[in-house]
Amino acid sequence: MSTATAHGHDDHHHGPARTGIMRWLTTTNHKDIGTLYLLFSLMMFFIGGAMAMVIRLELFQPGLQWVNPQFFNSMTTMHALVMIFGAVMPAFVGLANWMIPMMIGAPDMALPRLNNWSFWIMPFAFTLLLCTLFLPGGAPAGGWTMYPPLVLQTGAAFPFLIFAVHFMGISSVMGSINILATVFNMRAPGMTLMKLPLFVWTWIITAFLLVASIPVLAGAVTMLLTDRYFGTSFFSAAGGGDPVMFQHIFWFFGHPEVYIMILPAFGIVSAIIPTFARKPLFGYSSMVYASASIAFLSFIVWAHHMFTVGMPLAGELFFMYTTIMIAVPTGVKVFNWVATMWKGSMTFEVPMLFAIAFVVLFTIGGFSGLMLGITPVDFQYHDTYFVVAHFHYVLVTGAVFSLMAAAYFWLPKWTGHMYDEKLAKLHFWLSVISVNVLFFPQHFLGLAGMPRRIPDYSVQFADFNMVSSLGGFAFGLSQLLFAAVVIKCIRGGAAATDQVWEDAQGLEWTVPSPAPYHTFDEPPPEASIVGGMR
Amino acid sequence: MTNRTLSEDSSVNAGAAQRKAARRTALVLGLIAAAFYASIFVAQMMRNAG
Repeated sequence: MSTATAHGHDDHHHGPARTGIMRWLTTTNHKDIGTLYLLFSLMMFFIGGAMAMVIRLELFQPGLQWVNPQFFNSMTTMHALVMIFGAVMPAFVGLANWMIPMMIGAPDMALPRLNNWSFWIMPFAFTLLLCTLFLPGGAPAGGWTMYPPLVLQTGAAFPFLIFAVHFMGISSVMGSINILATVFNMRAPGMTLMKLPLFVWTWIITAFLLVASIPVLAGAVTMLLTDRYFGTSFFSAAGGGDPVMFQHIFWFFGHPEVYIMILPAFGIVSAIIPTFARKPLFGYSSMVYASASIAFLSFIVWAHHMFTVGMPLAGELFFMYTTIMIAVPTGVKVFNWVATMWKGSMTFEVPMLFAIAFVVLFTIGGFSGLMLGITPVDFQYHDTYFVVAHFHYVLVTGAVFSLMAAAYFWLPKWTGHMYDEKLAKLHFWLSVISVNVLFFPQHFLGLAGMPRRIPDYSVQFADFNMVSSLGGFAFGLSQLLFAAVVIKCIRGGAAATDQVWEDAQGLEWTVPSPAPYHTFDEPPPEASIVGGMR
Repeated sequence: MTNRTLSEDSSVNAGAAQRKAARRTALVLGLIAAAFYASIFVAQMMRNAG
């Protein structure tokens, strides 16, 4: 333990150098920056959630009741951008900032000043994006995919959207580079690659995906900017360009993006399930190879998002087969999680409940993804609510549930207090029930032909929409409980032990709770590094 | 690695060699990202020209 805590020569070295707002503006400490990311993402989660409430309110019954169609389209567009780039991605980066240096026995991230900059770009990006709600013409309404020529009809918000996406991208790429530089150069002696916790492994792979895919998105949106303002015709058929090419470029980024939002979730679940099953993770190395396989495949499946634009039969077959192939490494992972629980001494604290819900519900999202990957079937499902149901099962019951699990799992380590288990269990059960009421009926709506991104619909869709909206309101309100549990935990609660959970293993559990401001200023002893377990 | 000493600025916690290696890793990754960005333009221009 003594190696884990700070050994400064005076008290000044034990805490932040500055106090108040300057501490947070100038901090280079990975825990401070992790906290900033997590708080920012929580704020964005509620802003994006409020937009979802507007969407579900309008769809509560057929007809136009609350908002005009243009604003509705803005809400769907902004909800997606805020949730993807503002809530889910920064939350995973926040967890990486907090946990990776502690997991690998490093004193901090490799490039702490870059880390500070990576975070502080984000509030600028989202100020640019959110202020478009108050501009003439309103916020972007052409969908988060920004397809031309529709997106080129955006009003004054257009350049704001493009620069916001650029800033988010710069932030993500810098954060990823920092994570890779940290893991490759700052590991404690004895922490070999195959001893890394799976959360670190999944983040290595995610960071490579980000470095390779975000610049592609940046290139595409820069071309949109020049098409609009500088007379180029990258995506204008009138000038010799091709609007479908944008879709290819966008989804070359967009599909890896899906895995960027789910691979760290796999890492979190792989940490939580062995802890509460009190068994080593089944098939550690196969988990690593499966993650790498998923990452590789994610770059050769992009056109399954656009089967209906038309492509040669060979292309359709290629993208269908590669898409279906992703089920293999994903199946390996689900099998390993279940095998880890098999005959384990399981207990069901809230992180474990969210992790189990993740395994079950993410798998449902995976199966509907397989359905969508079958080309002839996709021609019926494309742009319907079936797609909406599919990706919300993946992203809400997948990514967001894993984030909830992670928050409950590591909150005692961050704050030094145990969270309120009763309140947290209430949050879990309300969430898991309401999220299924919210999204499961959307499968039926999609199969019956209800298109996505519309504010009004035919009356035969009314009942399931009403059920879905009721589930949506319940899910939205349930998340206020999460905020209450977090605030209560920060303010106080039963003292957490260093290990927190009975069978928690890894370097992060050897430091005191709450984790000191500086950890591992001297590398941990090699004997304390137990690999291949989580 | 064992030369790490604590400072109020975490960036000097790591040994000099580690910091140098980390900067080199970051530079290489940054160049890769820049190459991906540039390649999209080159590919598009070549496609539209041809």
